[in-house]
Amino acid sequence: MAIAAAGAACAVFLLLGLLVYRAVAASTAVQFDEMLQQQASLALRYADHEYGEGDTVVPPAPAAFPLAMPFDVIYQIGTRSGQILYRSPGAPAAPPTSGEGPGCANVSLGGRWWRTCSLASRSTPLVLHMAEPLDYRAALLSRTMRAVAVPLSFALVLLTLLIGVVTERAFRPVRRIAAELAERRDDDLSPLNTAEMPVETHGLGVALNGVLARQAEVLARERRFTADAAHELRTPLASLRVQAQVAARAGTATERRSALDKLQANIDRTTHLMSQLLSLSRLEPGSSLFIPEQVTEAQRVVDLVMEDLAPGARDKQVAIAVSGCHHEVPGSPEVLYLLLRNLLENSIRNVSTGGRVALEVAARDAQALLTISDDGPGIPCAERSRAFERFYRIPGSAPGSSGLGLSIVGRIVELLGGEIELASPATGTGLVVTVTLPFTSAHAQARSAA
Amino acid sequence: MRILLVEDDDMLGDAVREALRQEGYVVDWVRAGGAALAALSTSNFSALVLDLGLPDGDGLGVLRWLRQNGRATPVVIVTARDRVSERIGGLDAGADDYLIKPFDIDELGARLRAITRRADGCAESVLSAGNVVLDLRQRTVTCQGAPAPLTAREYAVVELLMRKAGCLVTRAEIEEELYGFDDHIASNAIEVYIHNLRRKLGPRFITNLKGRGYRVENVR
Repeated sequence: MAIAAAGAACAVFLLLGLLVYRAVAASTAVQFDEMLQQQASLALRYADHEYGEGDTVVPPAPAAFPLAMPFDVIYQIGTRSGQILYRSPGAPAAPPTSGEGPGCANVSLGGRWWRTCSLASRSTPLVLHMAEPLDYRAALLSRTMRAVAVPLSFALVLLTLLIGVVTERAFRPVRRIAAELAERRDDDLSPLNTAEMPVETHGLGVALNGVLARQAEVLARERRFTADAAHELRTPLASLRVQAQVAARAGTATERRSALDKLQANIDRTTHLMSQLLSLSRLEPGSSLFIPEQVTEAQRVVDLVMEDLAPGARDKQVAIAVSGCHHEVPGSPEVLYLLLRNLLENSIRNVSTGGRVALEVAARDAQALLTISDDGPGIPCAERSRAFERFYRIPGSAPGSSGLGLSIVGRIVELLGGEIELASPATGTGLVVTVTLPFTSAHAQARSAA
Repeated sequence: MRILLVEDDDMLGDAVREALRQEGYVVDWVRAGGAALAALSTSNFSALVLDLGLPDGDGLGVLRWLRQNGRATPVVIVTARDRVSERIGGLDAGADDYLIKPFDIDELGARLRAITRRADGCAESVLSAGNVVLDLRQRTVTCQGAPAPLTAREYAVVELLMRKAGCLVTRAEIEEELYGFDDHIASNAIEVYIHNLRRKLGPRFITNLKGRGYRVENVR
């Protein structure tokens, strides 16, 4: 970057140098012509004067110049008819051949280029041709340019270096950030120290810290989740262990049978806990279960859920009433399955034998409504805020709860951008869970159009 | 010996209660801190098996209540909290022992025996008084070298009296030791046990201090 900047500065300078040269050349050329014309005019005036008085137009010997001249102008004085009355030393015998009339022109004489100036007198028939060598002009120009070039070159070198150095230093803070990040350990997500950053990279530092903080948060969540899950598995494992030992020590076959049955039931419970943990982990950030703008017809999912929950419901003689399943609901089949299964499973577990559970699906233009109600003990108002916490089991709730069902449901509702409400029914005891899921705007429009 | 089990998980609580009963303990099982405090206010227990993750608060609260009220009941904490700092915290709060789930029920049994021995000031696993020798670990009683066939309740009475050898043990204390909240006590049960024990272990083994209680003499 620094080299490119220095190279660009160099090129600009050379271009500048070229433009300066041309400008100086152009303006000096005009000045030279003016001076030549003045000289010619002066000489013609003198010749006119002499001619008017009938004297010779041959000038007297020139005075010594106080300054040494590198050249002298040459001139001819003649008549309009072409007769030459006087030639200065070195001037050619014939008039210059440009012949276009008065004015300045470039003429080649004897292998050298001259700038000529021709003037015709208005009062006499005299004509004056004056010329100076062009290479004198070039020499003068180059002397001027050399005088300019030295400081210009100096400035060029200095500025190139300066730009190179400044650019390099400007990127030093960025390189420092890169070096600092490269040196870090894999799991180091601590923020960069932006207090000591120059203002140019401060914005970059802040943005990087934002990314690091978000990553650290995600990592922390995963770690917390893993630690929580391991912690929660200890108690079920402890009970499995003790039950196995109890079974081993059982005195009678009946006792042993009873202990082994309990062990089996416990293994089922622990397996269920494992599945819930897995579901919950799949709902963490970055989950692939959420394809935006997907909708599912409720019937497909409800059929699966019913199939899976039927044995448990049958054992308890619980009737599940279902309505409105022809509607579409936002979300993929996977997440809707988890949502409905967890809510219905909770209800089935909490109602007494012969209890009633109902699922109602409704949809308006902008949102879908899922209502799951049962006539079990319900959830007391005081417990409702904590009910969605992971591993929180509502005191007095039926055994076998992993404490994760409502966490999973809550997380799904959150990820679908919806709302969930826990309430009591109008009459009697029980729980009414109302889940509102919004359709995305594209879907809502399609639905209202249909 | 009567144990108070404080554990909110149904399956674990059921399994531990069953296992401890197999070992011969009388077990009262409560599922929350509040119920534990209620039980502790009304009865004496030989030991507490205390889970920390209770639905209505921290098990340590129960432990602190005990210690602040000067109760020296031995407590073994049984918990999923496995950090060293938590373990130190539990022991500093006054627990006698700290077990991390999942645990071996035999180990729980051994630790219960150890802490109740300490509480009695008795560091041995074998007690003897007169001709009677009681092995705490094997839960056997021998009289003059011959094993005495005792029922579980009879054994419990002997163990209690021998732990407190030389001291008066009231009838109420015996009842408390033998019976959990859910057990139904016949009105003269204790007398029946004492009578049977006299028959099996010798008439001079238990001294009846009329109207006050019973005592086993501290004779080696």
